[in-house]
Amino acid sequence: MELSLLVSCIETGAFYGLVGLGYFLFLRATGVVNFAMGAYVMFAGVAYASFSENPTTSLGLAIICAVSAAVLFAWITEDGILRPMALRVHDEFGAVMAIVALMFVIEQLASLAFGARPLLGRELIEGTAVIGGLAIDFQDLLAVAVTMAIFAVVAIWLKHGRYGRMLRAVGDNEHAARSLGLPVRRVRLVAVLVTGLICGVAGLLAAPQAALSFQSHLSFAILGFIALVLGGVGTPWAPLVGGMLVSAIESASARYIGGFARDYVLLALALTVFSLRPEGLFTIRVRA
Amino acid sequence: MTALRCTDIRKAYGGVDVLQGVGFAVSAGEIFGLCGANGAGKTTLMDIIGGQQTHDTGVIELDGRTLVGDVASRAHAGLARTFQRPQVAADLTLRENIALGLAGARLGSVGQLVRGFVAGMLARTTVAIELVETAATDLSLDRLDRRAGDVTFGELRLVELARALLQRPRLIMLDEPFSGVGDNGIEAIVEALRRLRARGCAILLIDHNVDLLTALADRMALLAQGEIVVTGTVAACLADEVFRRIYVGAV
Amino acid sequence: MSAARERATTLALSVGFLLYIESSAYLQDLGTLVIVYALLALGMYLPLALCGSLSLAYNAYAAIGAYVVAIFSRSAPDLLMLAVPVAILISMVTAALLGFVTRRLSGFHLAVATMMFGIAVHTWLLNTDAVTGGATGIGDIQTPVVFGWTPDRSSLIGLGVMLVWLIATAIAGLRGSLVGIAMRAQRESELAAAASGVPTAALRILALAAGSAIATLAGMVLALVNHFVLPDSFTIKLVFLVLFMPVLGGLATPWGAVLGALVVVAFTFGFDFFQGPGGLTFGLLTLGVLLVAPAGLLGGLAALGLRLRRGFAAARVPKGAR
Repeated sequence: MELSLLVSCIETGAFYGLVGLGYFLFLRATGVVNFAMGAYVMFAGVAYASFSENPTTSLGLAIICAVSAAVLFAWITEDGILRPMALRVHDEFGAVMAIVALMFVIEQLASLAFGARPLLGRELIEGTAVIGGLAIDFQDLLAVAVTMAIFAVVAIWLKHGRYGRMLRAVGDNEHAARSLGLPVRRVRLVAVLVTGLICGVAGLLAAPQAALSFQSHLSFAILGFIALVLGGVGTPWAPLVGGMLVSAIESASARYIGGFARDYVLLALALTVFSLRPEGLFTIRVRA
Repeated sequence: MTALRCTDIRKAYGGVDVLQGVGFAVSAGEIFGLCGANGAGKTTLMDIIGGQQTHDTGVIELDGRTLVGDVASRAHAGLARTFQRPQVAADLTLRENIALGLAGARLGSVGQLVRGFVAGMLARTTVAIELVETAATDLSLDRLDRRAGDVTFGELRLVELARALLQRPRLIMLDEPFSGVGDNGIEAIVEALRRLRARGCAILLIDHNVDLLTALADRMALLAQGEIVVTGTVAACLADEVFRRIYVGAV
Repeated sequence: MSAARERATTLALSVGFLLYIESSAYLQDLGTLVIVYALLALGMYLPLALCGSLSLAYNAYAAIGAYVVAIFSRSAPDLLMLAVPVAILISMVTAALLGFVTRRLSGFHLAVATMMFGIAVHTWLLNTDAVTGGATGIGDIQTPVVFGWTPDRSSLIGLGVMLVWLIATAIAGLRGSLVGIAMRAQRESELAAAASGVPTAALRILALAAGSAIATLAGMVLALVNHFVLPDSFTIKLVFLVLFMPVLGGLATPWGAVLGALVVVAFTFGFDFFQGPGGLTFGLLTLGVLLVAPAGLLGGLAALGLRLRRGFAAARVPKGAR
């Protein structure tokens, strides 16, 4: 009983971490905290669940459709909204408003396309493994394994990949990167599309765990953001740690205080972190 | 009477010592010129005095009191400044940008803020148009209804200076105030600085154009590699061997 | 337009609006909705347009106004008028606290913190049956007695319209005042404002608190005119709806927010427009305005008027020349 709770807690934490990683990359590339990201995840998840509801649809097709929707939204965010706006508006609040509006547009699009009813996705793989007397679904193992793999790949990419290394330069100082002749626009776009991909996969992994509806994106956006803030932006692994912490705090509060206390506990957590340690637990030292 | 006194200011970032123990003093009613090549640490020093940057060690005093706290509170202690790259609100008119200096001077405490807010809502505050107009005219600025984003770089320098003057500062710091300014503007600035000096305001003038500094300043100092290498009256500086070597080398 | 002329014009339009909705109970319902939305939109406009601070807790502030009135009406009907300052104080303290916690962080942090607060308040309304009546809310809200006078429904609506006019006029006055200049300047160049001595963080917190107070009034109007409160009137959807209004109307003047509220109600007839494609349409419209015409409807009208006037002037010149 306790162990199965632990497994679900780790899995949820991995999911929050994945959304946090999306925030991390998007922030690095564009300087924008994109909380429309929860909506990418939700849309991919709901799309997958809706397609896979029909037992004759091939899973592969459902997966491709769901992930490409998330990537498409990410692309629209960068090339359709943020870049055109940056050319004209010099303060941040235009971007904040546009992101909120976009989040709402994707939500409404999902409710129009897939209905308001919560949908549960088909499991990506079926079957159960028995480990130390505990039955664990392959689906759960897959979710954790895919998450770890994504984090590892992103960490390696940022350290050794061509665009990954340029992304670090762009994130540190876009002006400097541009005057050094780095292809800032392309680097940004690549990172944004990778973010979309990560969100798409996160949606796929979430859909078979719990029924998703078009309104699920708010909690995804909030929990992923707290995972990012808690972990900090120092290393790409930080959102994973943040996600695990958020998940642990969430299930502890549900267990010891009650299910509805979640919203209060998360609010208290966010305010505490904002006021005490807004730079997160793991930070790179940035000069003042 | 000493207005600004800096003692042993040190600042390092990224392992590089930008300022290594800078000390100097500016008297009330004095124009103090600080020169040095690009990268000598002039702007960093000004940012540290203004509170835009922190320093590692050292003491800054204004009128005998240690200057601490955030940027706004230093402004209320009597400090005003302009920036190397003029800082204005591009969507506001020139008049509004200049009036910002007045707003800053009159909105220090929370009480003033709340009173100003209520008065504003009741439309009781007529922005002291005359003060703003006079400050602008003194600096040869006109057509104040233009957007700040639409005027020339040189005019923005004048807007910044007018704004700073409305703060009625004890010490004013000007970062390359003449670059990009037309002849009329330069005359107006020089005139304004002389009036300020006569009023007893201390003026810290930063420029790498030594000719301008020597023409205007009462005393000056040369900053090189984060240290003050020469300081004294303009005549003394011009006679100094080191000053001449660096000055000639720099130009 | 001069300030005095603007005041006179908008006052005349407000009275006209009031006379128009007097004609039927249905129009009065719609009119109430316009008042509530306009107050919420004005509450959002103040920190957003003047300071650039986007708060998303407006459902919570409206709920505080509505529920404090409802709770006073249920528990202490004689002290109903006291609900007004109490609710405003609660909202302002909350808004100031949320602003204070995120004062050094980006606007995104403020948005997330306020959004979470709004969600938490809705959860609380639903789950604290003893205080808030849970999902069924609180009914039978009494009408307050103001110095021996009990306003009827029409008078309450009339008061609401005047409240909208007063607040929009006050915010318009604030824009041009020294505080307004300081607010708008710090939004564009925090460096310049701080160096001039403007306490930028305190200014933003003040604007957020004032905005929350205005939104609290919206909740009170809703509770007093309808005589009941329901938790589901105060979901996060309300915030998205309200965000559209100042953007749609135009951020250059507070009357843009009022116009936005009017347009939203006129186009939806008060129905829940989140049913069907209505929500999507509004979302796309907002994005479109932000991207293509950031001046909004009023800004567009002003530009059109300017062009027409120039057109007339240009047409007149050749005549004179001939």
